[in-house]
Amino acid sequence: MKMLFKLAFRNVFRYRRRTIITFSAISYGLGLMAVGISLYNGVDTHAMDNIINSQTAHLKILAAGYFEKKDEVPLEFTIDEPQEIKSLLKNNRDIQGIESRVLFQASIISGMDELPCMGVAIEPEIDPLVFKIKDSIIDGRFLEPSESKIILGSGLARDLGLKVGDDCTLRIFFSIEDFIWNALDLEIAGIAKTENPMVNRGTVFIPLSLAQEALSLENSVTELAVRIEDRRRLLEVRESIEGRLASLSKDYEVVSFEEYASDFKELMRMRSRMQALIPLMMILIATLGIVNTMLMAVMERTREIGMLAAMGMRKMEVMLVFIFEGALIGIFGSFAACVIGGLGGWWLEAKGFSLAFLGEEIAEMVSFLPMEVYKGDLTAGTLIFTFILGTVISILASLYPAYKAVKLDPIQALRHVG
Amino acid sequence: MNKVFLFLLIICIAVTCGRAGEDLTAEEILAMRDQNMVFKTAYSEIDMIITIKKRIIEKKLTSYTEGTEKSFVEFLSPARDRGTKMLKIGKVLKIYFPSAERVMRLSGHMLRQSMMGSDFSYEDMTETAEELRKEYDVKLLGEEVFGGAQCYVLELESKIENKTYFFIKIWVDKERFIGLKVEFYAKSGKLLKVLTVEDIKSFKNRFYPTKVTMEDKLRKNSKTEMIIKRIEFDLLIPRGTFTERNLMRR
Repeated sequence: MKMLFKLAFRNVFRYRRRTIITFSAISYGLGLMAVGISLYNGVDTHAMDNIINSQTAHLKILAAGYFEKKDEVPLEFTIDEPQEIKSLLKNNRDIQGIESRVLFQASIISGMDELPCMGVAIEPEIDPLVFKIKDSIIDGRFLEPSESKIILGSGLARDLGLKVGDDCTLRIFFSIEDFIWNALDLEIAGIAKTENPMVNRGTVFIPLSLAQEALSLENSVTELAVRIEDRRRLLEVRESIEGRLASLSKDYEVVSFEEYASDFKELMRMRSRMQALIPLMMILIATLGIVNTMLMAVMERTREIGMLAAMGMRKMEVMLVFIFEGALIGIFGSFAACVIGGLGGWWLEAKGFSLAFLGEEIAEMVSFLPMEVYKGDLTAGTLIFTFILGTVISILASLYPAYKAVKLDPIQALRHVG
Repeated sequence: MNKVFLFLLIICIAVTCGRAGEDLTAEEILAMRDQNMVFKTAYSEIDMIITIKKRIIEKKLTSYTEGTEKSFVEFLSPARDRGTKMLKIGKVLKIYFPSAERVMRLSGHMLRQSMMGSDFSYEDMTETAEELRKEYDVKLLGEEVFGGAQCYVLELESKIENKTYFFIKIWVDKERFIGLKVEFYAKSGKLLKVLTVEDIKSFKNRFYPTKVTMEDKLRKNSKTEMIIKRIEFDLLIPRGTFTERNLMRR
């Protein structure tokens, strides 16, 4: 047995060129597969993170009835005592921050140009605890409470040709249906480029008090956005909030980011049905590459097999030599694949890539995902899977040709021209 | 009966005027302004000049009006708008676009949008003084000289919370009882539109503005002038003018 292993080990190094070809087929194919799977996973997790960080937070507290009509961005379902709810939830340790917000329909006017947008009124001093808008300011600065200033999404600013310090007019709709609105003159404080292109393309932020005054809301808000410390505790936190709110006279509903972004979820689900094929295809291609090189490698050594048989080596032993060889190359190749996949995955996770090289406008059209930068999500599972897959396939792929060669009559095998 | 009523009204106004102009209430001033604008029927030929930055678009149109309820407008030029017709009966506005060969009924929000690319909205053209008085509280702010004429300054404030033109300020000529300037404000206090009367002609029994300019302050460097080239009051309007069939007629 030890002899067989030694033979296999020597063979691996003797046929250097063949080993290199097989080794690269495994490491390259499987390495790319690992990177591909990381990216595929990354789209799922990061897209959700982007939505949470720029649009939904983890949980939203809404007045009863709002959620059903959320697509119309209604103003009639309001939370009239946000401070009361906030103090009620003050002692909940799971909660990182609660922000009162008003969502409204608006359009932004500059000269003769007007673009529709989603208006978000925020509490500038609390917002950074709940969202990541402040970190995404690429020009100018973040809002300060109750100043007459506005933050524009980068896409909007570009389309209207507006810069920090420019003035613009915000048309705030009481009712878009009846075209009843109020107008505010605002100076642009900053431009936000979040990781979520949907926000960049069509959202503006103004201080809460400004919107409340313009929309005659007094102290009411349309939602309370809640960020929690640990996303895994989402359900418990939600239940505890619901329990607390039950003591109030008015009805509220607590909605998670998954429900709030359900349209997006649905999109992802439809997509994943098709795209589950993508990792599968990658696995298949990598496997075929390995099988192909292994087959070739064993077939060209038919004569050698005949020689070994003629010298009295048993069939089982011959097969074992080949299996050892396959396993050896498989293990080294897979290890290299893990290194390639790991480096690639790490780069994707840390930096990601943007579609911006296509030109900003094309990138916007192509990307229907809420991601500005495509980032990967590399898991240990992916690497372990890659390693095992590579080794197993290499062994299996060497099994069949070895078996076939062994079955030949030694004389025939010796005469084989390969 | 109606004539008797009108007679009494005129006497009332005469008496109030005779007493002292300063004693008029805000409502009375508004009512007298409206009096100038009310007629049984009228036919007019109008040039509408839209200026956007340096671009000037000139449109010619004719209009038949009966009372405050009915009007019929037809665009004669430019070629692009030629044959576009609008019929307004009460609150309902219908438009016929020859290119689409179809009558469109405008209601609700559509009435509040720009009319044929001008600074006027459809509603600016169709809102009647009666509606104004119903929807706004009127206050007399004082007197001011505007455009060389002594004017009453009226402020109208919306009775309901959410309204686009929440405040309206009107300068009413003390002599001729014509609104020389109207400013429309959003609830935030932002000036949205300014209407200025630039020329007034005297007719048999009334003064009537023959050149008005509207500026939509949300659009930069934009204004629309309406110049009445010819106007005839109290004429006989052909039967069938205010019908949908007339809209479709080539």
